[in-house]
Amino acid sequence: MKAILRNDLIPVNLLSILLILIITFFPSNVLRIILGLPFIFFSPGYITVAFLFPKKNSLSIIERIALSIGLSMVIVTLIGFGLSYSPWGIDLYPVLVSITIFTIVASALVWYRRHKVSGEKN
Amino acid sequence: MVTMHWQSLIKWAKSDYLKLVPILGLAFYLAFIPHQNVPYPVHVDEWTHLALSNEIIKEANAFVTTDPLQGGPPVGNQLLEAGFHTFWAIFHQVSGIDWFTIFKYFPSVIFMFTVLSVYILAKRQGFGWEAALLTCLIPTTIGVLGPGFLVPLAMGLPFIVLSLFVAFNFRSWWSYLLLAVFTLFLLSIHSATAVGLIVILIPYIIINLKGSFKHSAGIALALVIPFVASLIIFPEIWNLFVSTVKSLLTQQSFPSRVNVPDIITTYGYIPVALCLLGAVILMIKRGKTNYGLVLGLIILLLIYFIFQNFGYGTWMMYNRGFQYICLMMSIVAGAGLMTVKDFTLPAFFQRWIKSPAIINNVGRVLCVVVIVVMLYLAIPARQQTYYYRMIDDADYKAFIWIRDNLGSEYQKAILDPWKGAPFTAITGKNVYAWIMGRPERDDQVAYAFISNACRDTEFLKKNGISIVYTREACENPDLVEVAKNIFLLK
Repeated sequence: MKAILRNDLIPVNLLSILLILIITFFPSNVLRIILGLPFIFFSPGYITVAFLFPKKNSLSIIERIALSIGLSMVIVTLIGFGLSYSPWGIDLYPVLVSITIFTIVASALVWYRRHKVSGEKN
Repeated sequence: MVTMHWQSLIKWAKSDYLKLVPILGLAFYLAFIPHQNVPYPVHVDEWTHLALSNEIIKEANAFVTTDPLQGGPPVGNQLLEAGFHTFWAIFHQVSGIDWFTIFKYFPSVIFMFTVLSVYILAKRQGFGWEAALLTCLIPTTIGVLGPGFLVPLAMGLPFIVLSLFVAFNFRSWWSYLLLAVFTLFLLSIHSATAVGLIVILIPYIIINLKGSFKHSAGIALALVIPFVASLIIFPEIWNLFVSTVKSLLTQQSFPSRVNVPDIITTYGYIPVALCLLGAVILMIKRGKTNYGLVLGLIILLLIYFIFQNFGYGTWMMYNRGFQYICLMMSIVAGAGLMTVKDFTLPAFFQRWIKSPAIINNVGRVLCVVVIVVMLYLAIPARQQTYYYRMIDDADYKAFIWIRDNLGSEYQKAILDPWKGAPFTAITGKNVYAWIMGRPERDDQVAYAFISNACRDTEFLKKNGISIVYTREACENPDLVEVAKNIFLLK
């Protein structure tokens, strides 16, 4: 089980939670920019790419990075559209929480899919 | 150990990644040129998008109900490009980066992403860094925009490439879903780019009908379903779709609003020559992907040629198609540059030249020469391209004063319509008139009012205008100057 839960999912999720804490307690901190960039441009896409292509050899690292950036932009925008129809609208905390929830739920699905793929191999 | 160390270093030095770093640096620099030494957004479209993104933050809704520039209902591309504004509004909120920094540096960041996407697409065809290098040369002009501006067109370019990467290389249901999501996203940020993607993929879909029907159908569905869905969800798109179809069947008069530059001279003679070579090589090599790339480019060129010479087609696909053509030409030209790099001396010459160093490296040397000459010509040309400036520091200071000192009781202003979009982007207030392309009737009225020393009080009252910003003489007793060049209606 431990082998399947690769280290990549944990830092991505921690990053999201850390960003929420930083924005809440130190809103003008430079860390907000440093963590905000991957939060918007990488994390949601990376997890989604990991779900769509669970096998390590289906994509090279650089292909995974490029698709992750692209998909992150897509997911963030679609989450924005979704929030527009919600009572909270596109505001800082609804956006942060929605993207974090997406990342955590998608990570669980990735874990499940990787576990399944690994089981099929064995 | 030492030998191993050197071997790994040499291996690393030969790897594509080492070439990719300076290529990405070049992409960043070339896209940065329009913003060099300017703290503000440059193009009128950039200012407009800034104002529209701010409106999303103000209303906390992607589908805003008002036009931030002139008030009233949303206009033109406001809803059609909602995805673009939503993304940057969210990024601005989350990162806390100010708007001017975003508009100064992020065109370059997005362009680096475009070049990276081209790299991964072409890498699987064997000419990754070559195509990435040529993509850096995609020009940016005021008329046809380009990667130097933070606009939906530039943001759509990498998604054309990523969509091609997915369509060419994967055949699972997940990959078709991914393609559909990319198409949906393109529709939400720039529908012309989504149409461009479909046009490029049509030959590949047709080629795959024989032998890979399921793949063909999968791609076609992934492109069509988001289109149909968006037509149903957004009736505005349906109206646009119908008018576009009608315009395809009627001859258009050639609009003079935007001067579309000549592809060969703007993109460069060497890249165009490499593109021709690459197209020939890809067709000789055969294969569905190679045919798909070349035929996709040919269809784009045909659309461009037919509109330019016969007036059939849509202005949008002609104007914006310039960038899609340059993008596809860059990818195909990558194959041309690879051919130059792999060139070996024919056997005839090898009888005369005995040195293996020369025989083995003639292609590489030729490739370096081509790159050096190409960049020597292209970089100064990009640096000398003219970009206008919409406001100066005095305007900026005045607009900031208005934003910080005037409440909502002063909501509508009249000023030089050329500065209308920056005014709204900075102050959040409406303007009587603003120029998008060339001056229209309202703009002429505004100019006449200002040049007449702002004397017409009735005009101000009739149009609900309470702010006048002018650097020319203002001789109206009903207007009081509250700050330099800023006048309020008593």
